[in-house]
Parts: sequence; structure tokens; C-alpha cells
Amino acid sequence: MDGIHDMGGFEGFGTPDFAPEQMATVDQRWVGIAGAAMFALLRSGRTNVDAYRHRIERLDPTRYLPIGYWGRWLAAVEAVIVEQGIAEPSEIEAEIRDQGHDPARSAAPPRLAPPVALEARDNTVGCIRSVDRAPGFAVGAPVRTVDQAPHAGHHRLPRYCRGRRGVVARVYPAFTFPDTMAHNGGEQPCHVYAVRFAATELWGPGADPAQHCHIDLFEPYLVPDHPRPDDAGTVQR
Amino acid sequence: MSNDQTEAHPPGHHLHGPELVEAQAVRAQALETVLVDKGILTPAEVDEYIETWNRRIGPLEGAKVVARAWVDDGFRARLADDATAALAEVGVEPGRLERLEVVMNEPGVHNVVCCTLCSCYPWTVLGLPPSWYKSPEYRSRIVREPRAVLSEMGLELEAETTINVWDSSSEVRYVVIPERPAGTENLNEDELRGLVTRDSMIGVARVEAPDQP
Repeated sequence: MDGIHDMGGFEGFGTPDFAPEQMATVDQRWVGIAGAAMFALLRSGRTNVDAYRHRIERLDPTRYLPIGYWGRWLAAVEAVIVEQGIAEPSEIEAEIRDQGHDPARSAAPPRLAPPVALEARDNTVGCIRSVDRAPGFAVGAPVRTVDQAPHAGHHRLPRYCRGRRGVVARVYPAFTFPDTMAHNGGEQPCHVYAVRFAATELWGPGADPAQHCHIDLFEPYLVPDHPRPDDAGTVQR
Repeated sequence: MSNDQTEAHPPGHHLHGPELVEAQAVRAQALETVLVDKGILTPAEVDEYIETWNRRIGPLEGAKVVARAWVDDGFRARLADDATAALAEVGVEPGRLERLEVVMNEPGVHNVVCCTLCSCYPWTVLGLPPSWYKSPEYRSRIVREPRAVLSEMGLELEAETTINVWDSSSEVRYVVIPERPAGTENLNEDELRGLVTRDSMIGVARVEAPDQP
């Protein structure tokens, strides 16, 4: 899905609000609820990590930014509760009224139709899988990414590296495939590679010649490329 | 589609700032009650979550890895080979982490970690991610103009220093092993641990030697 979440290279944002002393904590209870509820839903098998990420991606893009990181978690928790039939929206509204609040003043998560129905599964088994097939690419192999979004659903191929040429820098085990996991398509495990791209390949000839981006990519996103003379010695372990 | 339209712009859509935070708190409380009623969540789990991420797990875990890598070349090699397995040697629990990779800074090569698609981060080694790591500013710009972003964050790199950005788009998680600062030759592993900051393990800062007395 080409959504608001795919931010790499998006222009116009300023300096990160960076305070070196900034502590990363759960500073309010509602944040703890968002976090604990997400993991409880995973444990219950009512969603999985990939489907959950996709739920966040499908939030209304005009709300994705203002509600913030934990707001997105919370919105996705509510969406899973409703879409998985755990509770009706009316039950949630009733709880808000019981707290003495007006549901119309509360932060309802935007919803986009249609919801993705999901089969229950065991999420305690992790996502690395042993497969018979050897990795399709070795360290140093020249590769090219597919130049379109793989499909309209959930995937992990960022826009900024599509149709670009890189070199395999690290070869990883097979992982369950997010593209199918988010859509009831089964695990379909495939190898993952850290692929090294020159900044000039990603951003054009004016880019920093001393910069490289390594992006973790699943095997179906990659096709073999022809060896290039400048590949020699560029693989950074 | 009129129904979809209504759902896409529900009441509360316009909220911002403190009003939004308060509204999110109200909504979260209602969701907790619903999930507790349905037997999916307990209030103790919420407390446990907060306790874990506020007090038990933080950048000190990663600092154990870095300090050991600075004093023990054998560990450094094992870390490069299989960082996930090497965690046990320094008593770090991998938790939900299945695959950890380290990227090692060296003279002329600087590494920095991000996640442009969401905000993937090595929680069990560094604790919760800081707000800036999850911000659109960092996620959008660090892959495109890292030298400028790092400079804005206080880290000036030489123009000829290679910058390797690592975008965590799979379940592999990355930690930077920063360079050991000069002038720390007489410090032991415990003392070195105390120098290692979270930001140096994300790759947006150097580790500084302690001020000389």
C-alpha cells in the first residue's frame, strides 16, 4: 500500500525535536494501555504483527500524523476490537459515557472500509522459519528491486528504493512473509537480505557520494541484476 | 459510500494538543475496560507493561553489549557473527527479539539506524524508542540527508566519512557499536558501560570520554 506510513525520502519535514536528555518512557497510563492491549490482542491470536502494522497504515492519512505514535497504536487496538467482533462500537461508547465523558469529544479512530478479516493464529511462534530452499542471493550479488508496489495490501518494500539497483550486504534466514501474513495468506516464509544502495542510486547524481542505505528486503521484492564493475569492494560487512 | 465517509471522519476528528491527549486517555480507559470484560487483558498486565518499559528494560542492556565488545575481541567477533546468540554472554534477555544485528563504527565509517515504514527499534536491547526516532522528521529525512540530520542533532561528521543508514524494514533489529573514545584505555568494562548512551547505539551521537579530573 502506498500510504502515509511510507515516509522515507518524503520532503518538507524539518529538524527532529531532539532533546539529548529526552527519556523514552511510558509517561501516561493511556500509553501503557495502548501497548499492553496490543500485545494482549497478539497473544489472543486476534491479529498478528503484520496485520497490526497494516491496520495502522490504513488509518486515515490526515489523522496518522497528528495522533502520534501511541495514538496510532490505540486507534489500531480499537479497530481490531471492532473488526474482529470482540466488541461493538456501541459498547465502547457506553464505557466512555460510564466514565462521565461525551463520546463525541473523545478521539475516535478513523476507519477505512473494508476491514481485513483475519483468521486466529498462534503468535507465540516467532517469525523465523527453517526452509529447504537455499537463499536465492549471496553476499555481493547485484540485485534490483521490483519497480512497482508488489500489490495494494501490506508489504515492506519502501517507495524510495523501488526499481533501484543494489548489492546484497547480508543474508538472513527465512522469515514469515508480511505480505501474506497480513491477509490470511499463510506464512510463506522467504529469505530476507540487507541490500546496500548508493545514495546516488536512490536520490540521483546530486546525492552524497559517501552515503549508502541498507534496506531489509524480502526475496520476492528482488530480481537478479547484472554485475557491475563498481560493485567490487563495496560490500560493507 | 456515505457510511464509509461518516466513519472516516468521526466525532473527535478535529482534536489536537492537550485536548487530543485527554480524549485518547478517555478512549484508552474504555478500551481497557472492554478488553478486561472480554477476558483478553488484565489491569495487572497494563501495570506490568508500564513497569517493564519504564524501569526494567532500557539502554543499559545495549551498553552491556557495547562495553564487552570494546574490551573483548573474541566477543566482538561472535557479535559480528551472531549477535542474537551473543546477547546471552552479557546477560541480556532477547525477549521478543528474534534476530539482532550489530553494525560497527570504525574510523571513516559511521552507521545510523532507522525505520522509515513504522518505527521498528530494538526494544529489548535499548528500551522504548525516543520520540524523535518515531517522528516524521527523522523517518523521512535520515535516509535522504543523514549528514544534515545528524548535524542538526549535534553530530558533525567529516565530509569523507562514509555514512551507512540501516532501514529496519524486516524483523531484523539493528544496534550500532560506537567507537570506543580515546582516553578510556584505563577504564574497566563497568566504567565503560556507564559512558555508552542510547543515542550512540542508534547512531546519532558519539560516545564521549569522561572529563579528565
